Amino acid sequence: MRAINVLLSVSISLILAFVVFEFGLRLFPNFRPQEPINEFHPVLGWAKRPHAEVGRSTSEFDITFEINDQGLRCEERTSVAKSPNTFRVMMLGDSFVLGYTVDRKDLFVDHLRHYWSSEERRVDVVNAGTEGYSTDQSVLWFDEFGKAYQPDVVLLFPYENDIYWNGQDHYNRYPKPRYGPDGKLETGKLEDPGQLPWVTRKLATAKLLGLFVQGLSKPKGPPPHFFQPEGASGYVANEFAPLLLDPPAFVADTVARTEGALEALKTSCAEIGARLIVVPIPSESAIHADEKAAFQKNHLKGLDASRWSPDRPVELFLDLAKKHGIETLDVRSTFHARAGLGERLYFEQEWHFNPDGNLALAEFLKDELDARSVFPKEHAALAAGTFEKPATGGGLPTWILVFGALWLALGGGYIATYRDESAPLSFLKVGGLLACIFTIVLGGNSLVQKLPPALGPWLVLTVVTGILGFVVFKMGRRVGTIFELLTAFTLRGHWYLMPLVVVLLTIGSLLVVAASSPLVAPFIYTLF
Amino acid sequence: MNILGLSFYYHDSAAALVQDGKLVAAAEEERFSRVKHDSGFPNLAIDFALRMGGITIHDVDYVVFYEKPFVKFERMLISAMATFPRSSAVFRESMQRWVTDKLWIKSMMSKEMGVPGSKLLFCDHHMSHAASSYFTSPFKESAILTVDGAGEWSTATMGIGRDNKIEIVKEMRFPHSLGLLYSAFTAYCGFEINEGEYKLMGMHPYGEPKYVDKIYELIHVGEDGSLWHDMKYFAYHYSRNSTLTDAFGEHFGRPARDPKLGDKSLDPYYCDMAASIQVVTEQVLLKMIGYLHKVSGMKSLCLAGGVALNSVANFKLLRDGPFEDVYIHPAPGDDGGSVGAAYWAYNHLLGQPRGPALDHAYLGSEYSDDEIRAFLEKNDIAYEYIEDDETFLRFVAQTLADGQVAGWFRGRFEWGPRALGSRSIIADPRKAEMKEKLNAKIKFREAFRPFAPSVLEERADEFFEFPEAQRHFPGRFMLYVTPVREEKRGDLPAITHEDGSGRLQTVYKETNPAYHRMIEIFGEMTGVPVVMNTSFNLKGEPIVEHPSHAFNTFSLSGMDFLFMNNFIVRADAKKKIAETKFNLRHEGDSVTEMVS
Repeated sequence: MRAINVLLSVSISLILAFVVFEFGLRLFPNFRPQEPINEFHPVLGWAKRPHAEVGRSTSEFDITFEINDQGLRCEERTSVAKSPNTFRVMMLGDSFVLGYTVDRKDLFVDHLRHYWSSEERRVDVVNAGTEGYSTDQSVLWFDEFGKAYQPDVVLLFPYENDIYWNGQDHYNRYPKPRYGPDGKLETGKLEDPGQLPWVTRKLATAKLLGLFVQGLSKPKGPPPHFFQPEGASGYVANEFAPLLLDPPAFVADTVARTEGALEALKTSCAEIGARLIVVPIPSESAIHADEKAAFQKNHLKGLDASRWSPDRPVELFLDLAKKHGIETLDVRSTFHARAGLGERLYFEQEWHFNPDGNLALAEFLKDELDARSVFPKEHAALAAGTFEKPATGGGLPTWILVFGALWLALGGGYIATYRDESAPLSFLKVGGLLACIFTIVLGGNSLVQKLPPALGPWLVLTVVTGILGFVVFKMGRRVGTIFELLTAFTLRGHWYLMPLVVVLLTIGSLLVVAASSPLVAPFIYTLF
Repeated sequence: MNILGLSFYYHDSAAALVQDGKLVAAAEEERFSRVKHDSGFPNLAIDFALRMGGITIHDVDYVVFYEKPFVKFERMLISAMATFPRSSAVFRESMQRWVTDKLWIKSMMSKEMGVPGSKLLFCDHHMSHAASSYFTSPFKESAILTVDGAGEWSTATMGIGRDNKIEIVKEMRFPHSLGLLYSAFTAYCGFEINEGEYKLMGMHPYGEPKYVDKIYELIHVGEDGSLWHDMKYFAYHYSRNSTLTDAFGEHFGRPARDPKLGDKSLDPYYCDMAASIQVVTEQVLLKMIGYLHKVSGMKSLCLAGGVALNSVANFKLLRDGPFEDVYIHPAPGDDGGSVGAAYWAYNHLLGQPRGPALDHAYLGSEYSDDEIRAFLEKNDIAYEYIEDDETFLRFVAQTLADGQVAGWFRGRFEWGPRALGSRSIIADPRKAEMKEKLNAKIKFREAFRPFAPSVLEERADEFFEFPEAQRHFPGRFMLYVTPVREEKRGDLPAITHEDGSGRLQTVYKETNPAYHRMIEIFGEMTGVPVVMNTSFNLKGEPIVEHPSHAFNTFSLSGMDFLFMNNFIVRADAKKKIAETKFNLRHEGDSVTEMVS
């Protein structure tokens, strides 16, 4: 029985230590486990999960995806069939179209939907963007599902990395279809790779361990999907090969397959009488000059700037489309103009559009589609349109709800613990402490948001280091006591108590610091 | 060489100063802070000890703490693990104290006193007990037995002291503990643990030891007196609120007595239970010392630990045990650990020669005539002063003989829990009604509680069945309950307990001449050289330290006279002095506090 108890409590203490570590790790966005938006699809490789509701957050954005029952990031539709007298625009593409880094209110697809709605046009916009799709998958999705929507206009938004992946039959662990240069689909039914183990999907610690193991088992030579161009001082991802003015040989095959996919889409659109327009998405380095240098430093080490061009993939898509008689739109001049006015159109660290970039693209498309008279007369604008952004929130801000819930829960806990204190006073105390914390956290967050993104993490790091330094300073002589205790327990053979001791010492240290300083006391006392 | 011993963060914090082997000062913090069983850092007691030694903290060579916190912490963690998840509540409660206070004792001591870490030493809890008794004893070599609730892991140890070294030869470990067994019965009989044990002892003469066999069914006692508890009956190792499980009450056929009853009733069943556990305690202790005598071959025994406050058992160990002589330190509990820790460092660790035996307990503060007069006059308190000692002592003795009850405040206050004629309430033991008067109107405590006699050492065996009383040190410290001679019981009704016993204090001219002379005069007047002596405090109040405390307690009670040195304050001078600290604490420790 004693052995079982010891085992049980050691397990609990290990679990406790693990939980602390896991949640600590989750503070770093790169380690935060992410619920996938997609699931395996036997034809497409993968597709968005119907009804999925998934959040994504980094230091630059905090958004939610809501996927409808047809697997689209759109409003629910009662049926795929187009309503009478409705003009339908379908947007095909990858994460740019999906809006991987923005909420729908900031996504160019939805900006257009609102704009046309404000013009009182009966226009329905279908967002068929899917994270990770290359051109071939967008085309195949259109064949499999898109045609049924009977769109009048199809806009394809290819991105530079499509070119390489259009030539591959796998993307990461998922199989994918691809087209041959002749425009024929080469792959049939795909094999389900199955889900990753639960721990890998759900635990930040597993992700860290995975990276550790990956680091240990790093092979000599370029890793898969990397190559080393002549003159480069490091390996370059294959997907950047199309940027080179003198690309490696494998690019020819991927370009040919890209061409095949475009031809297939053209054929499919023609079958249903839809007008196809290709709108290549330029990369950040193609728009912002400073990003070009950064991109070269990070991804094309050692290569002379004259050997590559960030415009090359866009031009390739435009050339291919024109070669096959497909309409195109080139957003670069508009984007350059806005960048010239000092606007940032992409996130600083993330490489997708920020809300300003999405709005810029929406405005460009609105103008160009009007200019090209995409809408027939019966769908002409009846009113002046605006790009009004939808009202934020609607209801109480989240932090007020969190504050209220915490106040109730902690206030109740306080009363239950200190029964001799009056209830109103207890709630007042807890509320005061929470108010201090929220003021500091929200204020700090707001400050970080206002800083250039590159500066924010450093500020946070400085603050955290400062707090840790403060804790160590306040601990003073107790630091020595901690080492003595750990040594004593180790020497006495109680190493198995270490997780428990470490957790207790951590809590103890925080309480000691709280007791010694009114500056940090509100945080720590509220924590406990 | 100056060694400061400290005990704190359990009940009864204390500080003691050993200078070149002599104990020059020792005091519990509660005397100064006026918080009963004060367990906080003993700042005031330390200041006092240093003052008495005429030194500052920078002159102290070592500061020694009376136990090893890390080892105790280890015991707390392992015990909690062994009883997880039942122990989760007690674990949470105890850890709150550990992670905020107890773990940081070393750094806290260093910070509070401004002493470098290199001067701080830590002595094992039971070694502190052993050292407190052996190194203050008159014995060159001795067997040593320490028994208490729990130290780090040990709950009892057997050791041998030779010259300036102590060797622990055997130990009993938590959760098996005679002290905790006694505390469990204290709780079962409806008293607070770490507070009501002496009430249980005082209650035992009212009962019959009918349940001894039933108690032995809960435990196994080895030939060496070692205990093994059947833990299904006990909950103190995992429960916050209870020392006992339901199985305990079921075993005896009655639930625990309602603690709310306090001291209000004397249910015969619980009196029998008190008598039974007293018998079991004595039998276990006798087994322990029997074994210790056999393995040590020593003639004398030093006893320490909280169980050594069981003065009924103490005398039986002397009378019925194999040792010729027994020594018990005046503060055998955790407060005495401060003295032991200091002596352990001085003698055992540093190899210094033994100092003189401790033949008195007057190690606290004292106040001069000038200080007392200043207090009385500042507060406009009417007094009389008799300059001549003999005249004054005759006045006191006559007052007692006239049936008056008086507060006696004179000299350095006593070290340990007993009042030994420096801070005492005294009365005439010949008057039976005195017991009730003192309990009801002066001490405000339960009627069954006995009072102690202070008797001239040279005449002790006239009144008590205590042969060669003068030779036995524990008698000086009121640590023996001996039978009152049958023929004298009629002369001493107020101090003779239900079973004809009395917890006597032998008074020596050499160590407390005024008190000795006063009793002598009282004997000349009445033929009985014995006075009734109880501690100068109200129930729940620490024993008085300062004249203001004495006057305050005097004013709040039904005492007739207050004698401070040669000053006399009569009852009509009583009044309230607002700024005097006065707190009453009646509760004992929680179960968590008891074991952590």
